[in-house]
Amino acid sequence: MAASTTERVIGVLLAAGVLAGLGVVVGAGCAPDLGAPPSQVSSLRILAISGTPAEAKPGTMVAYSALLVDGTGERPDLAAGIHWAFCNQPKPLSDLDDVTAACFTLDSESFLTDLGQGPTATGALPLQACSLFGPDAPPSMAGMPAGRPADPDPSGGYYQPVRLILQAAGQLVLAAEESRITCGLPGATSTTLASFTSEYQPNTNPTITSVVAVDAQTGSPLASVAAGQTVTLRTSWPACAPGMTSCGGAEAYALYDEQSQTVTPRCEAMTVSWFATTGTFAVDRSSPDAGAGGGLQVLDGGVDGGAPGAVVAACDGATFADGQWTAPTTPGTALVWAVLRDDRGGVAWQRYSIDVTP
Amino acid sequence: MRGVISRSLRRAAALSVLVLSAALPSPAVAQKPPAAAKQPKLTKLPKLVKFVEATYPEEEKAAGRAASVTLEIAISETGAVTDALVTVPASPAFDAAALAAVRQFVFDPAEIDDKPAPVKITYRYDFVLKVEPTGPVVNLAGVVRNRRTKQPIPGAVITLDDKTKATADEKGHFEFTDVPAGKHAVQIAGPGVAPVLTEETIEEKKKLEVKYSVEPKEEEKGEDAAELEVVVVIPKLQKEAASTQIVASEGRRVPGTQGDTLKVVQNLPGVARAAAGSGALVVWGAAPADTRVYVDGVRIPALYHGGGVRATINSDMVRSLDLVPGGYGPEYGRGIGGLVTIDTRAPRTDTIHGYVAADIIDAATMVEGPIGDKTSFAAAFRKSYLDRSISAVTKQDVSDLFPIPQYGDAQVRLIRTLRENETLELFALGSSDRLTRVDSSDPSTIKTENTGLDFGRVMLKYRYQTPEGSTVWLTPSIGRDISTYTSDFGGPASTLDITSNVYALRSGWRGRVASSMVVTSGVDIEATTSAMSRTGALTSPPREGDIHVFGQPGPDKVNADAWQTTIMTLAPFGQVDWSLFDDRLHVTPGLRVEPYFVSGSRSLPVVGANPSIGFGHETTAIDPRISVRFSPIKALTFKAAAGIYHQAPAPEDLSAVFGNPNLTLSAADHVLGGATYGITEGLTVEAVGFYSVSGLNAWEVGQGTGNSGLSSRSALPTPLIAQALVSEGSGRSYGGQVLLRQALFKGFFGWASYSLIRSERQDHPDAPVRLFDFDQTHVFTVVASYEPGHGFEVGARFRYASGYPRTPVAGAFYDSRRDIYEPYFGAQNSIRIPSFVALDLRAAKRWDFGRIKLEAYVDVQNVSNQKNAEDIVYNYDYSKQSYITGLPILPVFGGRLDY
Repeated sequence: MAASTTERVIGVLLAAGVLAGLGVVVGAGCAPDLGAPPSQVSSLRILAISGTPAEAKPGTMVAYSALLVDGTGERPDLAAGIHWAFCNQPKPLSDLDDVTAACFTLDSESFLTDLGQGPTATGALPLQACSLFGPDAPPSMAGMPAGRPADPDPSGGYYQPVRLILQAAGQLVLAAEESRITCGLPGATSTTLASFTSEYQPNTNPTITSVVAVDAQTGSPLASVAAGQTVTLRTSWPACAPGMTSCGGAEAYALYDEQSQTVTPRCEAMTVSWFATTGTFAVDRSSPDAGAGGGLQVLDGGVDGGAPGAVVAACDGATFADGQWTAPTTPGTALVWAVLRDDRGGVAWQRYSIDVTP
Repeated sequence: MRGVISRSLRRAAALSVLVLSAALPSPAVAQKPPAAAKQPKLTKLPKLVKFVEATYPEEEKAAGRAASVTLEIAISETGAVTDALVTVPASPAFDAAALAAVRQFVFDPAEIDDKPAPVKITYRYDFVLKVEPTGPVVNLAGVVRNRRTKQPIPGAVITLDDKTKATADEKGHFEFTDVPAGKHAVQIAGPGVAPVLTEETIEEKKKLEVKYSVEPKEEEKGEDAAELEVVVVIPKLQKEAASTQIVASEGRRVPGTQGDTLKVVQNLPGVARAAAGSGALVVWGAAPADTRVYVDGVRIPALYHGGGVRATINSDMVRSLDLVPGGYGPEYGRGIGGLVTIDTRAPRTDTIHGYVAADIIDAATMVEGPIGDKTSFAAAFRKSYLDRSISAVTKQDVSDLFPIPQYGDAQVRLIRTLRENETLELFALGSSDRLTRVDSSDPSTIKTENTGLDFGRVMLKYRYQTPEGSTVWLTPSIGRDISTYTSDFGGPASTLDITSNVYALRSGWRGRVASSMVVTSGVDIEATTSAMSRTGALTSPPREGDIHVFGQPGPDKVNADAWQTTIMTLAPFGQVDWSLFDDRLHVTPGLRVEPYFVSGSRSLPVVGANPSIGFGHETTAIDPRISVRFSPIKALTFKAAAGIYHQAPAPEDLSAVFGNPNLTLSAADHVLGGATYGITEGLTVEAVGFYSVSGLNAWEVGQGTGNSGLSSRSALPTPLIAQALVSEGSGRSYGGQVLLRQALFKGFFGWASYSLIRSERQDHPDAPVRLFDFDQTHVFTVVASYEPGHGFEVGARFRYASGYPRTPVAGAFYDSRRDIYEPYFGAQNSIRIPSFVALDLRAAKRWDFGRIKLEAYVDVQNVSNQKNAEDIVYNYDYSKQSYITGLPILPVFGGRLDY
């Protein structure tokens, strides 16, 4: 039976749709808007926690401090209410967090070592830190074989949890610091251990030399920023010379790989986290520009002042990281915090005030 | 069975001729003195030359009475009956019947003195009741028709007891006569019919009418050869599966399948709705990895490509697909969930055929045909381009949040017919998948996840069907699976690479050993050698049961391992299908005995320069299985099944660093029961209930419970070395499903299904029972399709499904070292994503140009643009939450050309 005119038209339209539809899809955005990014500070928050020294053996005294801010600036008055404690409870394997939620209690628990209350705290790293959170075998239960040691982070580090609880201004603020602990190298050969010991430098906290708004073209510091203007904020840190036992910049350190039983030199990766009471950042974190060149240099110690024949690593990469900040449309003073972190748990921070002019 | 009984009268005429006084004329002559007169002499008796059978009086017949009627018959000199009267009556009816008959008798006249002369005779007519065949009696007759199309199959040959044959006529009708009472073997075969052996019982004096719905032979030309049967079998049976059958032409018309018939499985009862971007098959609450997929008896690692967009096997290659949610027989094992078996079809041999198809997702082509008289081939190929077509027009964040799959697959077959019903086939298939997801919403912490799966199989299939109807098969195969995974969600990258070589052999025999018994036996062997390497955090990627939220960065504590494993099983199996009570009851017990040999390269993590120490252990699994089917009437069938199942640990779980080399087998017990009722010829309703326990709660033969737990993470605060995973888990799934289905009728088909299922897990004996991560309480699906004619087709699919369980975030703490917030949680899986609702529509037009057929279609998913939630997302400090919504309205245009 011959197709009717209507059928022909419909058929042609469908055929045309096949051809046209081969590259046509109706799409739409599916991601919800979840409000302000982490860089915007409007409520009471802890932006960073520092431990000094940044790395220590169990039993060593470490001093801790926290950067507590809200939309008006730093709040040392409220920081006096922070409750500090070492938490000696390893997290369950099924827990994807780094610190178990069981630590966040003000109740007296056997696994909590109270460090007191205040904006700072001092305490000796627990002696069992390397067996609970490090490469040493954890205490075995009666009749059971040895436990599984903890895994290190990519820098080869192990960490003792420190928990903070603050109830203030009607808010509950919970935070955790992971204090880097110096442990041994179980299972390493004597040669590997000797190599590691000679090359490894314990971590120290980085140092911020400056936080300034700079002209994006010339790099010159800006005294003020116009409302709505986008500027470059630059956080700088010192360079590290070869052989320096500690420096405020990207330190060189030795990484032990248990699988291959090798020790390889590494440079710390530096990251700046940006926070501001007003205005917006293009990104919440910045790292040194990869195109800036430099990086790890493995040198012979006899050449650069170290022990002859020793392997010395140096990191001569960039010593700053930039973030793009857009000033608010309302003139006033904007408070900015730059928190500089190395990838071994070291941290430093600095506040920077920006005058936003009409 | 009905017989034909004829009644006939046996002529028991007692003919007695009594020559009475002949009425001879007296001449008028002078009287002479009486002298000795000459007596007339009967020189020839009358001879009955025309007998007329008397009508047996009905009332006398019904009363079962017999009688004799004596008559006096006057016969003229010409042999005609001139008079008759009853001299010794029986009954008025008998008398009247006898008179009526004898008056029509014709005789060869008697002769007196050699001259024809009238006489009178005495005749006794006997009326006798006796069952006597007057000729051949048809007592077995029937119709042979195509099981799928319901059309008669003319030319089908029906053989009775290997001796007597009958051929079906153009209406599929056949008949046998004078079949002795008792049981008889019946074989239906012939051109275009796959041989079937069955049994019938003939009863005395009864005629049996039968209807045979048989499978068309694979080489059958025309559309039937391309039909694909999607069968949901609960449980699978030999002669007639208790199943939901959906033919290829129907499956391709279901909205949402984009013409891929194998995707219709996702719309069947008992199958949970997969999350958007996932092709996981969750059947009756079992984990996706617990459901095994087989193609022609050879296991493949995935049924669908990434995202569930397409099946990994071209649907046009497939003859049937069986989805058995649970309770399957002993022929298969190594899985504690469900079973998917795909049987491929033989290529068409009349001439070269093929097709080319394309839509916005991918393009595919297939060609098949004969090579000479005894060989045929088929080849298919498909390649996707959705990643390129969708990124051209959608916003970037669509592909950020939903992985867009890149895939391809190919199959090649060569079949050689050695003799009639004996074939040898070489079949090679391959599939490749890449899935990349990028979240670049924060340029400073770009999150990426890449998965890849490549697999290939080469199998040699030998199959022989004996003239008696037995079947022998032998399928050796080799294969390779390569799986890759990398992820970086703001922490250290995680990688998992697995390369496996699979060697398998499946062989078996099925035949009738007694009139009521069909036996299946064989051996199923598989050896898998795997090489794996893994780096990253212990909990990346997360396992089922790990509490986490969408997009949460994993921990940054890392480790690494490289290890090899070998898992080999050798499983003899046997099953008896015992038919009772005239085939109304089938009892099918079976047994599978399967030793598992598991070995690996490392039993402990590497420590310093210490050499690796391997491991090996053997466990024998004894898996009894049984199924029962009972049909008290033709339209009603009750069914039940039970069995024990085992599964080896996954090779990637046998790492001494990330898992446990000493993980045990996992066990599960399945029990199910249900009924199917045929309301009309095409309208059926089916209800099934099931209960399954797994892990430590599963009972095993000779071991009780508590021996074969599911793999779960160690609950110890400091786990033991090489025991990051332990075999301490248990699970339970239970529920029911109802299916109402209308088979193709006047262009319409459809079904409505509802499943109510609960699936639970308990990670350790002391842990609380929680919902399974893939638990989906309610799944309701309605599918309808109608062809109004002139090549047009419209269809609709409505789906409602409960959302997956999720764990609520109770709060968060700031991790200063990593500069991120980390959540802490409430009760595990205590909330749900909102329910999913969607309506899909389909319209198509076909043009038939003889050898060329063209089809164009549009398949619109989510017509109402429902914003279905797919997962919960949180802001950076978990103080705000929202939902990621699924794909919006999405029209898929496609076309196909067949030749």
